Amino acid sequence: MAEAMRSDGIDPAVLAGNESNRAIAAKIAAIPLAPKLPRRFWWGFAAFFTIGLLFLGCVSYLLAAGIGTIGLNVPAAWGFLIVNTVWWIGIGHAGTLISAVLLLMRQNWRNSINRFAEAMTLMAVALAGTFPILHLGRPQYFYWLLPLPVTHMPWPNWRSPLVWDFFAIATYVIVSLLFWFMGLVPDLAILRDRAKSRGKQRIYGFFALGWHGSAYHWHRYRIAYYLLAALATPLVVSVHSVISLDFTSAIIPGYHSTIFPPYFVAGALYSGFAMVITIAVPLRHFFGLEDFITLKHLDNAGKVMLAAGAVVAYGYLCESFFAWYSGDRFERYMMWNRMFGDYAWTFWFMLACNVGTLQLLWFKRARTSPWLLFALAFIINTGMWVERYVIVVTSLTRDFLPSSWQNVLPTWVDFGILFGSLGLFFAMMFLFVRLLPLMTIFEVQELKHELKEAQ
Amino acid sequence: MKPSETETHGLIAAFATPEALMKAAGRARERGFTRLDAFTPYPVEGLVEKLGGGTSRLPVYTFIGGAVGFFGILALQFYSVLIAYPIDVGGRPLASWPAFLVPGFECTILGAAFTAFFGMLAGNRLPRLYHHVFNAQSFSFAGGDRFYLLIASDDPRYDRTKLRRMLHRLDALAIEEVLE
Amino acid sequence: MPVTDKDMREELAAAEPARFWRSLEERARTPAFRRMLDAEFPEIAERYATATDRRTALKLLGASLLMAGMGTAKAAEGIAPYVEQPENLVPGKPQFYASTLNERGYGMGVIVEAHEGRPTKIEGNPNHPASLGGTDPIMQAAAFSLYEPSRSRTVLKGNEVATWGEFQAEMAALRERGLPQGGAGIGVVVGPNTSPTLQRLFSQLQQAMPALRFYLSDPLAGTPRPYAVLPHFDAAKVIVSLGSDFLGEGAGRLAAARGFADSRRVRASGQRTMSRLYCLESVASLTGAKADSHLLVRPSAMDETVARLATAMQSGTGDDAFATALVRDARAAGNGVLFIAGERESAFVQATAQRLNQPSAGITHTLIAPVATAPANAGSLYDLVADMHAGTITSLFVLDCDLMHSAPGDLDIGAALEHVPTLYHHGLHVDETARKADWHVPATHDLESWGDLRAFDGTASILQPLIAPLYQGRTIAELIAALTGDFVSSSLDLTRATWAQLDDAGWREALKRGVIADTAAPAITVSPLAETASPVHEAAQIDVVLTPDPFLDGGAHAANLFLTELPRPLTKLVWGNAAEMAPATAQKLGVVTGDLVEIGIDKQALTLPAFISPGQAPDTVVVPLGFGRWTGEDSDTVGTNAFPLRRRGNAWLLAGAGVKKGQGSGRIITTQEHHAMEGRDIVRDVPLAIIADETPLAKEPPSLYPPYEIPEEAWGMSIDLTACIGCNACVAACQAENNSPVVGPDEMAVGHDMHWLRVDRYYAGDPEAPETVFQPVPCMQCEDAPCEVVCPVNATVHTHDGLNAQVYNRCVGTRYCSQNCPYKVRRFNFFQYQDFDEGSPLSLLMNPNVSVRERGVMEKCTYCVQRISAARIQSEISDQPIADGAVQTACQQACPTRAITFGNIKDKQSAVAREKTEPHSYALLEELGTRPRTTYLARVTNRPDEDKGNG
Repeated sequence: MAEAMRSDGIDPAVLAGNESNRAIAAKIAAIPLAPKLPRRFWWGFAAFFTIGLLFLGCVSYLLAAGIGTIGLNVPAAWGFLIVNTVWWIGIGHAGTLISAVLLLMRQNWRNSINRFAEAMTLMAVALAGTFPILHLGRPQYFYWLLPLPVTHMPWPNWRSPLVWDFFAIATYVIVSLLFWFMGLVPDLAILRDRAKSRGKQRIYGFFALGWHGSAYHWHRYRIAYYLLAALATPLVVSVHSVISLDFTSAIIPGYHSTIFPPYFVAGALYSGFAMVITIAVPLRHFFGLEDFITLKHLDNAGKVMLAAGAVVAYGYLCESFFAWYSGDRFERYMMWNRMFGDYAWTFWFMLACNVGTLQLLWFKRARTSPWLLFALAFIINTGMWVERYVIVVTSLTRDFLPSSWQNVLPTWVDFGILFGSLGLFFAMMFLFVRLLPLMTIFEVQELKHELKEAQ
Repeated sequence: MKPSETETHGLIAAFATPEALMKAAGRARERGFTRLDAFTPYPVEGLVEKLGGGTSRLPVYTFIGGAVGFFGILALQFYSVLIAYPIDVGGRPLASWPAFLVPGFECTILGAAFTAFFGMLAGNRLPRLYHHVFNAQSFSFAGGDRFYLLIASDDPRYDRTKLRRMLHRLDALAIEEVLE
Repeated sequence: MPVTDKDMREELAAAEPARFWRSLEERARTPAFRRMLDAEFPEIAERYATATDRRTALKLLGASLLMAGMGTAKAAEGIAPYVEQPENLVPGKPQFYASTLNERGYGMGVIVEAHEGRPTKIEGNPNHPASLGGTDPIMQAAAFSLYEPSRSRTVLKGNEVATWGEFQAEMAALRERGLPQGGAGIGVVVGPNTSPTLQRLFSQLQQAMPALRFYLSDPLAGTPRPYAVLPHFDAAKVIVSLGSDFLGEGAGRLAAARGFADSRRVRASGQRTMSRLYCLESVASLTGAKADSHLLVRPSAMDETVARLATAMQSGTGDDAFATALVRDARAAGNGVLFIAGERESAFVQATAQRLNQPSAGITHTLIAPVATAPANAGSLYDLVADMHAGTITSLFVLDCDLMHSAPGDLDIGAALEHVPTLYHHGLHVDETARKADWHVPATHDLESWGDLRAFDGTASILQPLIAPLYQGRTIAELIAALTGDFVSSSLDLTRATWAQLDDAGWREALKRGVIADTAAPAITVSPLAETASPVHEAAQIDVVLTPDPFLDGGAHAANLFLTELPRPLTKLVWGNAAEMAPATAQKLGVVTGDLVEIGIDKQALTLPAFISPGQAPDTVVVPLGFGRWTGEDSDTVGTNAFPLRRRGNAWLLAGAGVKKGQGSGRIITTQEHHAMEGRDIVRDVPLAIIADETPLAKEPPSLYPPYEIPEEAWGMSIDLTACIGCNACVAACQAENNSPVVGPDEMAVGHDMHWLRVDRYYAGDPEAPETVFQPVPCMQCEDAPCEVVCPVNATVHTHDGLNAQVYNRCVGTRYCSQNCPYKVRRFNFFQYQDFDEGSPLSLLMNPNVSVRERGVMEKCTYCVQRISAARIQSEISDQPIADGAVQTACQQACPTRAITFGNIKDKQSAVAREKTEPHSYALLEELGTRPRTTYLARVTNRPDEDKGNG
């Protein structure tokens, strides 16, 4: 047994301190069960929620006045909203990777960070799902993309990547939700049994589904959990690949590129882990969770970013090379325009953020100093958003016929929706932290147990 | 006064470590007890085997669920393009099967995931908010440092006093009768 | 204060008995009543005297139907309830009537399509010499200007609403006073007008009142010539334009365009020679764009350049490549040479052209006496102002011209008009002149009025109303008649009186054919004009030259937003004018597109944005005329008015004008921002030779997809880039046919334009003397359409006859189709562009066979599918296959040069199929494998350096 554990390469550094299981449970459960949290917590929530209101405001205006209120035209009929979708979905990917892929690889260090990573996934994907709908000319009819047996509408066009998106994103949301909830059940049971107030007992008890940790239950639970993980892994790869097909399968220069699927997935992980760090660093700081989210975690996350970022950089390289090597006049011009055209600054900004800052991650010092990592993560996420802008928008402004070339500028509604969505996202993260255990208590305990055995 | 054997559900013993529980479970099996159950704050490897369980058809069901998802959506797609609306879309063949594989894949995952999750719940008879074990004073799921063994009273070899003695020897922290 | 029956009865009593009236309200329309309305119920007031609500509209429809049936105007005053089936009308079936539109006083013969009595669409009249079946954007926009909301709707006395009756009373009084002194003190300002009826009435009036004085206001008048030239392009081997834009300007331009295009329509299967066009110009023009060799000359240098050319023609040796080649060809061509002098070029140029033309007179062109456009011995505006200052004018009539807008700056017309005791104004809008007037009478639209006009060659045709006047409009004829004491006869009576020689049958025939037989002017011979010595202009730093906007006719159509939003053929500018200049000139001035430039002439200064427009002559700034006209309360002024820069004797080239960079920048809205083809095979050029050796351009790329069986006709289109002159008639026609909205400047500025069809314009070669090419781009109707594959909801799919259809009701607006369209021919309703307000008269403009699109749906060209279905229904009724040419798309029908061919490509004998087999037929971006149904015939060039001799 012990050998087995060591072969799993578990490093004690992923769970510092030596609290008893009871202490662990107490510490983590304390946050959702606490009668009240410090005021600054609510100030933080209020701040983000206010920004979130901006999102709601802009969206209502968009729906009332029409899609023309955001920066679109022909040729560039896709704008910020699509960029946001791709970006948010990408962010979601890290959560699934941590909870599913690392689980399968028995990277137990994940146990202390997977819960909020999954929460992050859920909220990111939920947001991402809204943008394509808002982006419709007639959002009220979005359900026409569903294969509904209704006489007033035909079946969807299965050849359209947008239909594929619909399936991919919907599946992703549902599976993530199941996976997340399944992980929650035992912890809810813990909260149920720790809760003092009747109300909390009832509520947590209801969602705990009457879990009492029977060995037989744990057995099936484990199997199902691993099955879901095994399903989520190809799913997470497929989702961003399918998103990338929106572009790949179009014939517009700058879209039409076979490198996209892998390079989108890598980009997703890149920005996803950046977001994990963006959340983890303040979290461990403000809730004194340094023992659970250790430098080891940050270090590992940094390494993943380094790897993913390298793939992304390689993607940029390939794209430019293909454009040149293809000898296709349109592709070549598109690439030239990206680098030196009207939107050139976005391209160079993207490189600076995503390839430039990346290099710092080669140094352990950088990977293990939380706030520096936090800053890097922020810059990289900005860069990743700009990358999607470069792909989605600037390609469109220079397509086949020069006569239709036209630049496009975002409007205040675009910015309102982008920043508003960020506000909403973090506001929801605050609520999550307040209501649910932000770490999988039983898994941390299990991890502790395994560590003990390993020694 | 003591409850009679009929109105008790069984005897529950709490242990401090998973190892102790495993030992106790093993001993109970050697003694020929069959109606055993154990409660742990986190999954303990090999415990089920000790209790004499440890097989599940969940993977099979999950596979079936996936297959249903895949073939279901494919059938729908072919029906809609070949029978319902055979329209020329962009000069592509009506049955553009490569395109159909993407929804096919996603629905496979969806079908499988649903079966896995709900299969697990069904297998565990959950949700079920009431359970005998909640009647035990000593039982709590909250701490994470108690490991329980339950021997049901309908076990042919169930004998309250003998059991208590045995469990004591297996240094159980607490032993208690669980009421129906 | 409400109107009581008593007031009403008094009002009615006061009304003069002879008049008809439709309702008591109409009769009781007293200023007091009007004031009360305005005060109490503004919104009703708005509708009441002005906008036609649905009911009134229906009444009018009924009325117009009855009238259409009987062809008499009196009936228009009766009401035909819609329940009574009017004569020869099948509801749902459009009716077509021949009529005539007035363009700068000349007649353009048209066929008007009316639905349930609403004129909705204009087509050219093949019988009419000025149209030959073709149209231009102005004609296409005529229906729009009919329903255009800012039109004047009531007679105004001062600012009070009055009635025609009151005005007639006023006329009677004026006549009483005027007759004794023979009309002394009465002045009449008229615009150019060739109407025989008006000429007749004018001379009648002149006889009745010898002292009455006519003045002509023709802001776009060119240099007077004692003759008019009718070119025969079929006979001309070498055409030399001396500053003439015969393709884009003048009453005969459509005929000229057709003739010119035919003389260059080379086919492997047919004519293999083409004419060669030399063009000498100082303002970039359509003609210059089609020239095989052209030379840009700044206006001040035009005369001497022409002089040098003339001497070269004698000596036989030119002093530059252009002249050398020209002389060589001209001499080789012998009598097959045609020199055309620009309308606005100096008398010297006119004379030279005429002299050089002498040998080929009667072969390449015919001379006729110019068609009379003004009353005999009409004075100029300068005379008018002199008389006004002298105080000899007591009552002045301004008929259908906006002096305040179009009078030269040195006249200070506003001040002069103050000297006139009573000013009578007649026009379509309550414009600035009308606001100064004591009386305003709304004019009728051409489609509302009876009348007659002459074409450029003298052929007369009848204006036949398609609908009863929507408002209280009156024709000039009725107004003049009133002045001559005739208060009863309608304009129909007046017109018929002019054509007394036509019996009823003849009259009907004239109405039916749209022309009056043998009224064309006879040929004349002109002795060489006096050789005026070439005047030398002092070369200014920069020449400022005015030019008429191609669409606004000097402001006549300023209120027509349809035209305001139509891209200008060369600049692609919309919603305003700019100071257009060549890149080098801009550099010299230190400005870029958008910077404001200041054009000053003595005290007057004009500020407008600069626009870099390759093809303008060096050191020349071109300012289009016709913008900046105010046309009533609910209208906004578009662009800058350049008329005030004019000085006596400097109508076009503004001698002494200075140009300098101004402060800040102005708004430039253009539909095409990039002008180079970036070395892409978009518009292809082939030398004439290639037609001979029949080497095909096209190479159909292989496709993985099995071809679909098209059970019915497979519609296809071929566009001949050699014939296309880029006039934008097709774009206007498409917009008029398909209910495409006008979206306004802000939307155009961000690229939300809604024209389904666009004419791309590219420049090639030296930016200072570029070659200009045009390419109309409708939907390509790809067989393997990239747009269809990506639509998630099957909103765009192929129809049974292989059209790339757009199903508006099914569209959710992902815009993915537009993304994936390599030609970017799809248009999206980013906002609710269509005005569903039934109160707006514009709702009468809609073509009932084309659905009106709502916010958030994609739309596009479908080869006028409504016309195809109409033809199919016919063919199914008659059980005959659809004959080749039975379906004409709107763009095809409008094209003056017949550049567009449309039909069934499955039928190898069809015109379009034959076009597609031509060696120079190619598909746009064919390497993408979209397999378009729309293909192009490459632009065949006949440059002098390509070969020796012709063809």
